[in-house]
Amino acid sequence: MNVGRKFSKPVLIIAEVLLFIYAVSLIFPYIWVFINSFKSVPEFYSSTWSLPESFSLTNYIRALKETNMLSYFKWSIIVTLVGTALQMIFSAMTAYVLAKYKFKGNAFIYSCAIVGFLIPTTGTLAPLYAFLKNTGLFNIYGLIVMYATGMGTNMVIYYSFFKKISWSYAEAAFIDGAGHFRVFWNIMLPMAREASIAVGITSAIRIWNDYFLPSILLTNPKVQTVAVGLRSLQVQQQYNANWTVLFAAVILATLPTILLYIIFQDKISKGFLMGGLKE
Amino acid sequence: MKKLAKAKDKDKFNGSNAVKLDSKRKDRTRNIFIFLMLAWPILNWLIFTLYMNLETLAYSFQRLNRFTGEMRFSGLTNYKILFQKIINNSDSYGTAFRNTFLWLGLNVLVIGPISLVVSYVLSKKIPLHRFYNAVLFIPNIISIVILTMVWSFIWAPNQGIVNDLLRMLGLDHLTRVWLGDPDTALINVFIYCVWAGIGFNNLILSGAIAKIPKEILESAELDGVSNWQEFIHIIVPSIWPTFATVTILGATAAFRVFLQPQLLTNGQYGTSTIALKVVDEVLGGGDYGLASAAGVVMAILGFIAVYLIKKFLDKMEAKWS
Repeated sequence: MNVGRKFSKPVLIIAEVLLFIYAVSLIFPYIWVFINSFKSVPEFYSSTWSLPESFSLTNYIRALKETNMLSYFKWSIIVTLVGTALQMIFSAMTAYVLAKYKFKGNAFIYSCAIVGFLIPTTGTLAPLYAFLKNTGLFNIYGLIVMYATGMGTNMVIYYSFFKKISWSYAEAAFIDGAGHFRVFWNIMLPMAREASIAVGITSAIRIWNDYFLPSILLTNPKVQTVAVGLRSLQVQQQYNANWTVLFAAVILATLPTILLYIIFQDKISKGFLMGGLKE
Repeated sequence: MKKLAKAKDKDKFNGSNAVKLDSKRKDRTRNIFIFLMLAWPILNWLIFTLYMNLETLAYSFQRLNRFTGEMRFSGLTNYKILFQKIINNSDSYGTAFRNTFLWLGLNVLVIGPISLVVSYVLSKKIPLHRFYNAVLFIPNIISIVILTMVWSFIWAPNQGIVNDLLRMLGLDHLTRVWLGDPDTALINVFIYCVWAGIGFNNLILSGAIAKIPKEILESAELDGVSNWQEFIHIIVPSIWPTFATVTILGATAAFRVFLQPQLLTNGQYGTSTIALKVVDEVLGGGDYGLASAAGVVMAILGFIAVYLIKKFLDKMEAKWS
């Protein structure tokens, strides 16, 4: 395989050393957290670098029992599943109609979508917050309504896919007497499978990891996602100094993501690549 | 070509060959279908994008009446307050304003180019390149809450990884409260952004480098180019459009940065940004008018900066093609 000019030995060594240090700096903190998650607080304070005296699961049990971790997970899973599904459906619906149906205002709607996600959204927080207060659209329903968008980057990914799919499949189905929605749902959407995978994976990761929106919207302390719950745990620890339980919670929260990443690494990278390039 | 296909589509739907009555009915079901498919996405966009942006503009000319709880027109008062705060650096507005532009420089001039070099090096399939590619991307799949938390464990004053290492090396005098010291906090947050920010750009730039035709690299190699020449004269021009996209994304992101300083330092020790000021003003102070004026100024400056950067990037592209 030709990759162009190869590096000379010294350049290669410098590159390897720098990249290795960088990679270690990204992984090692989790190993450090993992090792210390088995220690008691006094043990952690006396030596942060030694291996734990025993791999007792006390901190993990405490993290599960005392910190609502299971409830955080439950809500994160619900929000991610529903949010991702709605984002996929609405993006696909919008993209399909804009890509395949000619009507007045079609191009205008498309350009509105493009302009929409180029504006920095943080600046509009004041009216958003006032709107939420007036409508009471807080907590899980509010969050899901805000995730249920159909005119963002996801739509653009679907749009470019639907543009490429030949309309003759639909024509054949129409002749057989299928309705518009049937053609979309049973014929065209399955053909945009690759787009669905890309949109699904990236949206799910984005929603699962989202912090800011849920931190504003989830005012009910019983309904919190993992990211928001962990943040409040972290803030509490500054007073409790119960660090090792927090470490266990961090490992519990990270493990599922890392496992999924290891299994689906290629698909995840491909999904992000598709999303990134379309902007 | 496209137009022809579209005209054909329309023909099918209007059913030019069918009976007129039947075609009218078909037209109606088609329109109802379009309406139903777009109804919610457009409503959501109208509320959360259009209305919010217009209302931000309106709020920026209004001030809250503390007695009635209503927003009242107040001309340019918010903008005056904002500029005074920036000039006098009261509530560290001046610092926040400066930092937003430092972030623009960081994203465009530091993170972008470093990512480009990293993806070039990894494109050589050096030993462990698959491992590096996988690990560098990890920050994109983990929540920023966990990332910043882990980062704060690294730099914690007492049991932190870095200070511990320094103590082990006998360099006790170098230990600090890294994230709680005005001398080091901002640079530390910047380093966090580089640390967590290269992976995504690397993915996109690597994808572009992989698409460069092998023959070009091969013939250049036969001509005996050095790595530097190959990078500057072949790689960079070939993937410039992608690099331009990465740069534009970074530039726009700079005007939205607030989570990193919020989660790492609470925006203290000189690390705040205009976007974080907006958030603090809304959730803390409740000064919606001032927050919206800051949001509008941020959007305008962001637009100008991104436009100028895009102009420059396009000029470079035109030079090469």
